[in-house]
Amino acid sequence: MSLSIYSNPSFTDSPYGLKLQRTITATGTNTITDIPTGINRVYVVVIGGGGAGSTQTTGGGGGGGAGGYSAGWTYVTTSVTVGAGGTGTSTAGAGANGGSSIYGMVFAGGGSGGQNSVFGGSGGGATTSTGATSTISYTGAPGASASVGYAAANGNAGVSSGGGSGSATTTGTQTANAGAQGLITGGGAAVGTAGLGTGGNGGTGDFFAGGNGSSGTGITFGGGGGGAGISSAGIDASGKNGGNGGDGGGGGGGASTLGTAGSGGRGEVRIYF
Amino acid sequence: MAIKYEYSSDCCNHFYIEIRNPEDQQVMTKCNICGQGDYVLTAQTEEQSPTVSE
Repeated sequence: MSLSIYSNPSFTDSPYGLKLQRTITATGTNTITDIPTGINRVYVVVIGGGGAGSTQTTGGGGGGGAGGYSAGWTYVTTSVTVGAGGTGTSTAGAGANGGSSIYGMVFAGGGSGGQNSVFGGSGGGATTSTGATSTISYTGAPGASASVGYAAANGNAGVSSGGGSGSATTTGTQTANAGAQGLITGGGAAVGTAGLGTGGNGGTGDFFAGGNGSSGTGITFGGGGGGAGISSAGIDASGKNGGNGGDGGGGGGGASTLGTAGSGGRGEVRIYF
Repeated sequence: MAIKYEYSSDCCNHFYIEIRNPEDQQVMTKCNICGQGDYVLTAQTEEQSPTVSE
């Protein structure tokens, strides 16, 4: 019998000998009281909600950033908070940030919403990222406005990657940027052009694929695909609307010209002991 | 309303719990011990609705 950690995501990034015992995906603050007596420390993987894509009055919006990823030992507690993904809308402007997820002293912020036709959202860190700048990650890596990072800035690769930057050009053949590669990925950006427009794909995740961007002539096409979550793939864009991010922190795809941007994927908490 | 789903793997009898909304997909379907068997649902109970804060 041969096994690959890649055939079962639960094997990832946990100390040898521990077993995944609880997974919480219901967004909001949950109460758990069933950790067995005598277990005082647990290892947790905590993922924030993905950011929503953006939509713009003209041109294409940027993709949302991936939710943050934090992991480590913590004391046992009864409170588990799972961040919701940012909700995509058809209102021009930046997309909504994802929510933070928390268990004990392990925190993961949400990805930031796609910003505009220039900037996508940044991947979340230990706290929620702010616009095109990422925040400090749980490893202590500093936030950045433009670089590959653990929590990556807009358009950049990382464990939690950034969403693609949108396209402001409204004529001719245009192709938007994909979300960047990562463990959990940002959404693809959108185009809004009178010519042939192709939205960017959601970023390629380590376990799941990003959604595909939409392609066609005119501003009713060109939405960006959703980013990959840690538990499911990003959703394809539909016409001018962005695709939703995958479960477990995927960023939402950007929308073309007042389409509905993709929502970010919900967060997740996994408890090992 | 979140639901607490209790599972046992049909290979190693690994006891595993997910707390999720009923419309959400099961996250882990294969046994975490050997990666081979499936998780079989043994019980489900309604949990207190999560408190959502902005």
